[in-house]
Amino acid sequence: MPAESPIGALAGLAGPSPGDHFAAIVESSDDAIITKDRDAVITSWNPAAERMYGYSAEEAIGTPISILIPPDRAGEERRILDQVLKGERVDHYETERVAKDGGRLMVSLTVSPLRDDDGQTVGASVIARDITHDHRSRELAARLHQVTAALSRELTPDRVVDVVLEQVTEGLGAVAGAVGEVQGDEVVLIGNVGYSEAGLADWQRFALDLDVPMSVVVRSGEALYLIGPEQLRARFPTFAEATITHPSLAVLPLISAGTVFGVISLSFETTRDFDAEERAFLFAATQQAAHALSRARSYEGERQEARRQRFLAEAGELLSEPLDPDAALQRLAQIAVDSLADWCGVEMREEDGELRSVAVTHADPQQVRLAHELRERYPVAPDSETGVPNVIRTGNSELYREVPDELLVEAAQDDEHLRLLQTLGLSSAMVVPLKARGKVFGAITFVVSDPERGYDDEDLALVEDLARTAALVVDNARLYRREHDAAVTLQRALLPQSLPEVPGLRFDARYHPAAPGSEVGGDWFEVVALDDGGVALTIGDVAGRGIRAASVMGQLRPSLGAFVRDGHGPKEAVERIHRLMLEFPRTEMITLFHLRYDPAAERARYVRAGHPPGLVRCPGGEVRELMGEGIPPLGIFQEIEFVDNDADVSPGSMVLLYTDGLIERPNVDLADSIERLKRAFEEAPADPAEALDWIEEKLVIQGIGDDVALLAMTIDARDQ
Amino acid sequence: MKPGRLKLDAGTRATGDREVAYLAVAGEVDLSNAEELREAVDDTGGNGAGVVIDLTDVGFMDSSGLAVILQAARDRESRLVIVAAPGSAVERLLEMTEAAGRVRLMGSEQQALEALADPDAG
Repeated sequence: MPAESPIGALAGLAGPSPGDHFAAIVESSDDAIITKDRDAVITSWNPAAERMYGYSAEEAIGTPISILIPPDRAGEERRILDQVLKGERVDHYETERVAKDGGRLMVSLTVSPLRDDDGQTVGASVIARDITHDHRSRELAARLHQVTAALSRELTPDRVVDVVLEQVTEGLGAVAGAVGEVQGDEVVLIGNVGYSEAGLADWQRFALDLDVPMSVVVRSGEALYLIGPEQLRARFPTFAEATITHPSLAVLPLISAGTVFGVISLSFETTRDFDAEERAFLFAATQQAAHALSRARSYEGERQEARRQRFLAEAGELLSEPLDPDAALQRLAQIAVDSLADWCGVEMREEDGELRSVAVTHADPQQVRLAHELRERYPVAPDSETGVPNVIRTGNSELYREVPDELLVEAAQDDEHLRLLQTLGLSSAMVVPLKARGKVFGAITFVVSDPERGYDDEDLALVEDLARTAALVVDNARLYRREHDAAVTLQRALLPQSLPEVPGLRFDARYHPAAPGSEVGGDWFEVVALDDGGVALTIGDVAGRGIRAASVMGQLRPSLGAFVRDGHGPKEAVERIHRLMLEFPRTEMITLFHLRYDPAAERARYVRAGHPPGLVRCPGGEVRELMGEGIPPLGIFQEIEFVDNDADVSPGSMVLLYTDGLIERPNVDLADSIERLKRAFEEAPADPAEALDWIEEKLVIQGIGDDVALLAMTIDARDQ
Repeated sequence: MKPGRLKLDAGTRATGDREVAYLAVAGEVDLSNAEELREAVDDTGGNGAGVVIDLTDVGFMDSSGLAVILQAARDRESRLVIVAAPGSAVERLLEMTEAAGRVRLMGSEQQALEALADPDAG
């Protein structure tokens, strides 16, 4: 052993003990023991150092120790040496070193000054322990802890996938990773990191029975580690000709409740083995991911289910209410964006074949304008082969689980259109037909812009169901409305188009059909001016509905006018009406209030047949009921004893006649209702039109289920 | 038009040694469902021992409902008895429309059945 051998130098340093003893220890140590001089040149190198760093003693000795220092730690050696040369020791300093093959290792260093016989520091001894393995274990444990902590917080599947990919790729030094989910007989990528877009293009979804690592692992349920291109080619002949950019692979199944529902794959740039610790880490992290993912899915499922339930409940309620078809569809679209969509549109095909946008709603009020703008500026092309026109043409729904940008580019009519589409955001969409009695008359479009919430078959089934119900409701409402409109038209046509002019008297009369969705009744009124300066006022109600009631009224009114003009008194005229009614093939009941006013005598005579009392407001403001002795409703009972009544009605008074729709309200006592009307009438303006406005407002006739007729007469006060 | 606003329950009741048709009506009767009431009344059969239409639980009735009741009263004459509580909406409507005198109006089911118990009363 030469005197300058490192062992000798170290033995000398060791002091009085025989050198051989120390030499043996140094020789057999598992720790690298190295000495270096003041210039950081290696002066001795034991076998452990050779094993750790890969340089032989011949190679190492005489070489600067910087060959072991990673470039990113270049300054470190100088600092350590300076400290040691000052006579201080460095204990268990953990750092990184580079071996001859370029591999990095973690070491724990203990560096002590080397002194010569005079006590001068001439160099340093370095004991280096390879702690790569411990360090790695600790790092993997820490990562696993992070995975667990992060996954316990993440509630959406996408975030779970992101966290897992980030932690395991970094933890193992993978250059790329992907997570796939089993959907039917396919594996669908639900997350990836590090792969080039081109590399992923063909692998967004692929068959489960394919002989590729991810499919194989899903089928077997067991982890697969492939180390090096040879193994890869041997196991997967399909890759035989391929350029292998990732020679090592780790692929693990995602298992929940005993079922493989997904797979995670990691790619490495180098040929590398996976030690037990790394495999354990991957296994544990994957298991965590599987739990978190299935939890997130079920949570998402619950939320989606809750959303669906809410949508169904609200839509069901909506569709059971009487509404005109457009309003119903608009409300439906509003409910959709509250629970099921970010954007909802309803298009109807008009009789001329044109598409009409009935409703456009957006969950974000700011975007509604944008959505409208889109529909207005770029109306759906009626001949389009996809989307609304196609759904209306074929009656088949369309489901776009994902809407990639290319599809938008394809659909856009110009750049501005594309910009609008992109701004609104379309990540998934459904278009379902509105179909009733075998005819498609419209379509509803549901769009989500949140990429985390794609529509699936279940969503489609739900909205198809709903669209069927909505279509029936709309179809019925349209049919009904056609009939309703016809009845209202007839009713209005049969009522007097103008009221007579009688000096000193002013009239106004109104007819209000029942709220849309309700039946059309048979309320009517008539004003006949008499030759003697008097006037006959009649208001009536044909019980029954629709066109039939209107047509009965249409025969009655002119007949009554004729009876009055023929000179029949109130009692006689009403009796003739009654007889006329009895001749009708089907019995119809009518109630009426018939009043003759003689301005000269300042008196009224009236017949009240099954009808609420007329009202008179005296010049002093007091309101009286014209109840008198009434008779039953007409048209039913053969024998009625007709009675009329007298009342003083002085100038400056006002008369109000009305039908039961004005006062009959569910849960309100009839007497209370009449009282309320009297109070309103007391304060009504003197002008008959203004008075009727006033009363309509006070009695709230908007939206009630019955029709209402009103007739007011103001008797002008005599000039003083 | 809320569904279920009108409830009809047709059955029979024994009174004296006869059985009469009994139609219990509850809810609100208006234009939208008067036809439904008419059909139920027609279904009680016109020529039996008697018919009771119990309107105790009718909170609201308009002229179209009144027409159904009055036509039934005309067709069945004294074989039809209407039940309506004194002061109820139906009773007030019958009073105001001068129709009360044209129907056999009883305040309770008990009274209605008693009124139909005696065959000679009809």
